[in-house]
Amino acid sequence: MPTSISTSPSPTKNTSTKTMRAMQVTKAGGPFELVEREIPNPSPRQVRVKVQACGVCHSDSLTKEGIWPGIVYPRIPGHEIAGVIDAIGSDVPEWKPGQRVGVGWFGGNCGYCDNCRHGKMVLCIRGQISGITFDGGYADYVLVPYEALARIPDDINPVDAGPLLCAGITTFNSLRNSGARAGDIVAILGIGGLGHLGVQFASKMGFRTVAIARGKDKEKLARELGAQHYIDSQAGSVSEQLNAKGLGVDGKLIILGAAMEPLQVSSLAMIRRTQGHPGMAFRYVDRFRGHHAVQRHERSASHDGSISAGTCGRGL
Amino acid sequence: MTEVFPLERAAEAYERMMSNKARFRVVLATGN
Repeated sequence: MPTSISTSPSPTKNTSTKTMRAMQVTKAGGPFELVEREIPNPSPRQVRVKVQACGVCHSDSLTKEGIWPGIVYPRIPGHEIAGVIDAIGSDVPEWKPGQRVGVGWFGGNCGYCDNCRHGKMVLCIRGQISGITFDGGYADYVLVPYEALARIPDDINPVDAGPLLCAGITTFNSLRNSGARAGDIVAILGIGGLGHLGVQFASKMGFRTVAIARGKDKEKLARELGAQHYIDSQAGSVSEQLNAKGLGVDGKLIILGAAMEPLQVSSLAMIRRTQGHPGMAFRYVDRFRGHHAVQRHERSASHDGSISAGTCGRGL
Repeated sequence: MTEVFPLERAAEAYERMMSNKARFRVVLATGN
């Protein structure tokens, strides 16, 4: 953890000059360009955040490479923003300048559509996305709708807080909303940008945590992060290493990674074991409703990010 | 668990992230 990053705001030279630095992309597939822009003023329902740190997420490639449809360039990527409220619009309730805040992928919602009315604001049909539908956090300042803000506690460094706004919330909420209970078995496939957080959350939530990754290199770290078991996916079939019988009763395969290849699942297994395969946002975390032994209910993964199709269907 | 780059080195930070070699999150710091 760098010690040079203060958790408190400090004046910058940009405030007096009314300009800021930004790293923008001017076309799909184009390079990052350092530009000087005027510091923007918030509209009535926006706040201006002075950015302290912004994580670099793989989904920034959607902006950088033009994969997300309809991006208007130039665009500033960045949706793992940690900073401090610098100015507020006239119609913003409660929020105050000086408060530490974060902004993630969720960049605001309409409050009108059926999804919003059902409390699924993140699925709003008019939902905005930081760094995609409006300029994101690769800059000194960013404007965001106030409903996109999250408070950041005083005791966390901005550099550490940034990645929690996307990688962190994706893994944390997947586990929190999975239905798994303390003592259940959770296997996390891939120990990378999300998996290293998922292992920590799963362990601290009281799950029996299995880390699955390629090779032996990550075993020591995975165990230090809280994994009780480690599976090297290159050392043979993961299923066999786990004495696999497929997803357990009520087991869920939580999909957080957007692979291009279709997944194959067994409808018969899903019916007989009331299994589910909900999608979340990025990569995926396997969760197993175990009984006592870690070997009891598992499924197979051939390597990080891809599933050996059919294995879960054989788990009857 | 983070690798920190100054804002101006976003291109380098992005390439580091895309390389899958980062351990584990790449973060831009503005100095603000």
